[in-house]
Amino acid sequence: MHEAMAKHPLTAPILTACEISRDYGEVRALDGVSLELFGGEVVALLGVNGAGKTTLMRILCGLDAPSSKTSRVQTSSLAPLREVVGYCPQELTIWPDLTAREQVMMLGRLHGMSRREAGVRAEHLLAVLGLSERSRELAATFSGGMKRRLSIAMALVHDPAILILDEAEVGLDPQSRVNLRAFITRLASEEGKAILLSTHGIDEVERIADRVVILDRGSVVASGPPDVLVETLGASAIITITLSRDVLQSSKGAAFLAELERSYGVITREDTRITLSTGVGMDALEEVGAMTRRHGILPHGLSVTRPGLEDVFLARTASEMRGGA
Amino acid sequence: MSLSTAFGHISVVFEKAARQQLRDRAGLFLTLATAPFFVLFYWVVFSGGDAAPRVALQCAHEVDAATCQAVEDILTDAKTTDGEDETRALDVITVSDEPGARVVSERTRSKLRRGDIDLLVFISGEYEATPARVKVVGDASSASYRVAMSHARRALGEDVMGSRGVAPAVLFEQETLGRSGARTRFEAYVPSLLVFAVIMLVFSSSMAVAREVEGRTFERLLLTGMRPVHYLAGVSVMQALLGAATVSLTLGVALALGFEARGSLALAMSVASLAGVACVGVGMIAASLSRTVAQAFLVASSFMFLLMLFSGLLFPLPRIGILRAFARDVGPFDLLPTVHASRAMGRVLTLGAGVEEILFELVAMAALGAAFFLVGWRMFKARHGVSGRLT
Repeated sequence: MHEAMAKHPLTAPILTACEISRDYGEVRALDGVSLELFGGEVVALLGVNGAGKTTLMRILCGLDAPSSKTSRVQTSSLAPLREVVGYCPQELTIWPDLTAREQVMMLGRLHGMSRREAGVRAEHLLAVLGLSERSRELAATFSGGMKRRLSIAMALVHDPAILILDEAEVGLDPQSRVNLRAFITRLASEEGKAILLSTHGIDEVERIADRVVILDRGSVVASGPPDVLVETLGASAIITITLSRDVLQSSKGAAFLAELERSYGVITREDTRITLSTGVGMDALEEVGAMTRRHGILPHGLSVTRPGLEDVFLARTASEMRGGA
Repeated sequence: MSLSTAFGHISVVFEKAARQQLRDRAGLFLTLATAPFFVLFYWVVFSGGDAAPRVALQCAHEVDAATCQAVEDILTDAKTTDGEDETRALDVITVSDEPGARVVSERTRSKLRRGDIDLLVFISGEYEATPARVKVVGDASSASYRVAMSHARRALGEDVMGSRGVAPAVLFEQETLGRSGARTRFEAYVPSLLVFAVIMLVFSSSMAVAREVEGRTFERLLLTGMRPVHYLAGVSVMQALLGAATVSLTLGVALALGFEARGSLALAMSVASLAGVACVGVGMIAASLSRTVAQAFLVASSFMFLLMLFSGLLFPLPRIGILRAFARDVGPFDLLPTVHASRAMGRVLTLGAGVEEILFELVAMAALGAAFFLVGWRMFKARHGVSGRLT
């Protein structure tokens, strides 16, 4: 069962995107992407540069339109996207010559709030995001982290059911990252908002995402909770063997490597470290140990690690270097 | 979308633009102070001078000093009238560096070519002959030459005929319109400087909009449901007010420095305001063609040159009529709001024209302002609007 549906079994998706395709001239940026967002869940969008993450997000918030006529983006309440979605773009799109309070208030008023309502909402958001003390200062004087928080406050001013964050952690220091993650988690768990975030930080995803959607060349190549995705790699493990240079240059070393390759297929060698790629089961550790003894080799190191989300990401996206990557 | 929502959006954008403009002190100072500075500069350069053409008098060696002095007095005493006021028609200097020369020297011709003098009157012995002969030299393409020639011919003709007991065949009674006969050189430039003040709005308006596009904050505004036309309207209102403030300051400085307006100052301000709105419209077109502030600056510069060069501010425009409308010939230059602004401003401030006498120009500027804004809006929406379904 879908994780978010498991969390909210009686709720319908707040937003449904079906068969989203987008072409830029001859280039297909998105190819039939479908996605549902449920209240209270954090969904991470992973993909290499140029995979189509930002294009998808811009379509979901209404800034861009799909190329295909069969594509559909629909909110459960049938309300306009601008009312349901708050978008925090990758660039720090703020007005440096306005104070934090002025710009949040301005967007609130443009969303239809009265001056008073917008003022109260701005004060609340700036307090929650730790910007109260400097709310009446020009944004030009803010640090990168403060600007990012201000950008999020602006995206939340109309209290949207969905918050879309495009690489929100870029340029943040570790402390600010931790605080931002806590804030995002709180928005989902306490306020029931759906969060869709794109990132290159796998550790961020593993910490806060309920669901991961991996995009590659404009298509969804994997989707699901992080642990479920990792399980799809099976009982595989990554075995790392470290040998001395002398052993590697000896005939018994060469024979050992040849047998490893015959037995387990592709192996990668980085200096004195040999790694057996995914697809090798946990039982292989004992077999490799026996093999070293058989060849009279005493390894400097022999370890096994379970694959993580990064391994899933690498396995699901093309490994070769591409233009724009 | 309701009208009240649209007005709400426009007022929010206006408030934002006003805050930003007030905080950009350097930009605000430059916008407000440039035209008044030019007024001050022209006043310093031309203060005390009048618009009378400069005439040089040179007498040949056979002309006695008394005759030469008499001719100089006649030219100096030539008057032009402004209502009941009389002002001298010619600014006479005597060429003293070549006393007794028989012909006009190359040195004097050089002064004429440089524009140091508008007309040379060369008196020889034939001045005493019948008919009296006077040689004049000057640039026939110059308006000042033609004016000087007219005054000199009238003054010397009347004097010669009077001294010989011949009644003039025709006596012209000149009445100059408004202050056209009495304005100083400084005053002659003021109407043009007021139009120059509003041309600056092409820069400020296009760059204000381009800054929003370049910083991608415009998308942030669109995400609220605000439409591009609301944004352009809010910015345009702010820019039009800025233009009104600039023109007020410029006019205020001119009045303080002695500029005398013949017509209604309120009407002159209306002309400037309409011209300002039209220039903001041109600025919107410049913004729609630009993605960055640097591009907007370049595009606005091109538009500004068009508006200045072909408006009659710098040199007289040829009359090119393609079609006849409203009892006048309408040509390509009529597409430039500054053409109408400079005509109307000159008529109001110098000739004392009323609304009915500049009605065509007022209507033309309003129509051009609306047309430019509409074109700018459509182009801007096509280039910088969103294709998604926000509403």
